[in-house]
Amino acid sequence: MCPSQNAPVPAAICSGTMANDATQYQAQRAYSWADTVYSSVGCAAPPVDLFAVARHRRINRAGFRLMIQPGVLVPVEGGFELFLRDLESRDLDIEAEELKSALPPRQRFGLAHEIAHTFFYKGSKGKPAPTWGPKDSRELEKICDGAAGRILVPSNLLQREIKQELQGNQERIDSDFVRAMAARFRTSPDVMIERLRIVESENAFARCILLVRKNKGEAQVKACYMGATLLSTLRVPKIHDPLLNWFPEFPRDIVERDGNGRWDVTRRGRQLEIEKIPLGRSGDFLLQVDDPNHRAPTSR
Amino acid sequence: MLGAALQLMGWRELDPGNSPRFPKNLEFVGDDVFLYDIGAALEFLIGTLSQVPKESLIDAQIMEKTRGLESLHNGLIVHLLKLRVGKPAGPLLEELSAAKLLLDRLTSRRYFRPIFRASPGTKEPILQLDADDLADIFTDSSLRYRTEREIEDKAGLPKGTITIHCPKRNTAEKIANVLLTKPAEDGETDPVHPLNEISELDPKTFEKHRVAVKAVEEMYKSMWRLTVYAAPEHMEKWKDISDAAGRAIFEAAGDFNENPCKDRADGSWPNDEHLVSELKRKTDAAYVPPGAESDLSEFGEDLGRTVDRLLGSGRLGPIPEGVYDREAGLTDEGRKRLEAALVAALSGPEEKSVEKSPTKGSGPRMTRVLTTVKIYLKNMKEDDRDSLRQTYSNRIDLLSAEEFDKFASQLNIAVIESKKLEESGAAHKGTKFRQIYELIDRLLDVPVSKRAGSGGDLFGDDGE
Repeated sequence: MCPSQNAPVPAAICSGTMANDATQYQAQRAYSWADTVYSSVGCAAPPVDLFAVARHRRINRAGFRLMIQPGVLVPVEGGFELFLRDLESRDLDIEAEELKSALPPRQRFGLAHEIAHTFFYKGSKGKPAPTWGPKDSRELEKICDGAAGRILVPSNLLQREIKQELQGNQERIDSDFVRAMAARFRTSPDVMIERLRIVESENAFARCILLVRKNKGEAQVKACYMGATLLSTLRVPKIHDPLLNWFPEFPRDIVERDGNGRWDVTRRGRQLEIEKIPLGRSGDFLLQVDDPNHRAPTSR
Repeated sequence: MLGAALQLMGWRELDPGNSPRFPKNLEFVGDDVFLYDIGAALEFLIGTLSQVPKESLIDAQIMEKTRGLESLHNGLIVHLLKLRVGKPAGPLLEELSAAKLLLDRLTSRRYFRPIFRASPGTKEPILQLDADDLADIFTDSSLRYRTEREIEDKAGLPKGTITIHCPKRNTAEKIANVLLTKPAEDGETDPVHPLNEISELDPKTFEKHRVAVKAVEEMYKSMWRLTVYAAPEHMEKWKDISDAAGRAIFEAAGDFNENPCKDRADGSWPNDEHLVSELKRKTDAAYVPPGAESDLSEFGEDLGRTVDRLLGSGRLGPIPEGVYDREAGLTDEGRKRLEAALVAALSGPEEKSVEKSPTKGSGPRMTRVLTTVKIYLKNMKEDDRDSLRQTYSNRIDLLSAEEFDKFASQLNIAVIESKKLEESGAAHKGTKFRQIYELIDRLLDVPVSKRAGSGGDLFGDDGE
């Protein structure tokens, strides 16, 4: 199905004696495939045409169904059928180019996740058969999430945007850039922040960008891109960490009030500036934390 | 049932003087591994033997098919086949298939039902035998095996659908024979006596103890039963099976004692009258054979068929034990619920006092939600049910009747669609329970006005 799947597999991994290493190895293979699949379908600039990727992966039919699973991939004679959860049943015209209005960002992520599952099947004719993959289904889902991020935001395309838009100066990455790139790649800001964290992991700027989501009234960190020079003041938050656990001095009214704004906070003797940028009706918001004494340049 | 399965597999008296021993290495294997290995070996052999003509004998050519599998599944594949070298493949396939079915029933806890019972007071007037004799005779496992097959033959049942359980007459013997001692006086040997003779040690102190131990022995004796069990799907033929069991037990007991009356045509060991009346009560109502006339009205039969259709289509999931008990039938709670639902559904417009479906209040609504969810999550635990109830009862209460109907119908559609996709080999393996929460959250979050329109988004893409 894809060249990388024919790569030889270390015997120890096949025999299951290296469960963790084997899972990492599988993840790396899936990630490197997902990161380059855009080029196989002739895509040269963002956003990646997911319908073209789906066709390339022998997905013959895709659509929405009212169902419990967020998405399912069904191996059938000659390829796959793929369904995503929605209230109304309808089919997607994946034979055509993916129009901007076809899918919102989260459904694009769902589609990319299911496309990633095809990597764990083999057979170019007939009904695809599952090939070796992580035995733990949670690991498999995690790998497919990671691969979906790479399908949507390939490392090469993101690096090219950083080069073009920020003249290659990664210190200029800020919340505006996150939003602009999320729109350009037609993905959600949390996926974009996560991709930046991986693609530009070494950033010495004094800035932190967070996506915060309210879950049952509690503000939780959903994604974080952290500059290394802030680490002496703020630790890297874990995903789903309550915001106020991570940053106890955080002004509560930032979380509770609607709209945007700026606040000054002192943490461990260091002055910090916090900017809140709401993301529409969902209640999610971006937070940008800067050190005003060592302010990183902006994307503007 | 496990014993019967093992005997069918070949660990029994195969020919006079040929009773293969159970492999030693399997005596030290854990239950789960044991059942898994046996099941897997059987599956392999059934697959292999079904491709061989029935009349072929198990020979080197068939053994060749198991080359290289000597150490697989604790060596069972080769071992089981070796037991039958020189025997025809057809009967072996039949016996192994019956053993597999028995093991499957055992692991899925689909146990057999009692259909014939001999209690401590049992007596057979022709053979002049009683419970003590029966216990002595039927503790022989080979005899039990032969009698089981004889009952199946007489009642026209497939192999492996009958089992006989016959414990020792004195099951408390082990405890009663525990040895007790006390230091002897004057340098004599310490006296040693079994527990049921405890008073010999010191009559003054232990006489009452001896009486109590004897009473326990008697109690255990009175609990003895020889029981013949049958597969539940054949319970509708319980009278035939019971007659066949009585006849086969009579013949086996007579044969064992070389009793000259053993061939008497009217000889049959009597079934326990309490069990007979219990079976009459239960099975006459529950196991009406298809096409037979029943006491139900046409409407009653229609209702029954409706329930069968709902169960068959999956719209009605497994019925909770609190509502319908397999042994006892419809429970009081179940009867109340059904009556309330039927009155609500079938009352004419003049029946004002009855609240129309769906009933306001989280009890019945949540029950409906849980029943639907259980179609998808068959192994939903009590904790999970409570958690769902706690999370959603209030929100579901707030829905109007129309909103609840819409919600319940969408949940139902989602469950049916999901099951259909899973059956067709869908490869998504998330946490099912969490996904149920996500779906219910989304269905409850979307206002009715939006739900009625097209293109609702279950992924909450607001603002992105």
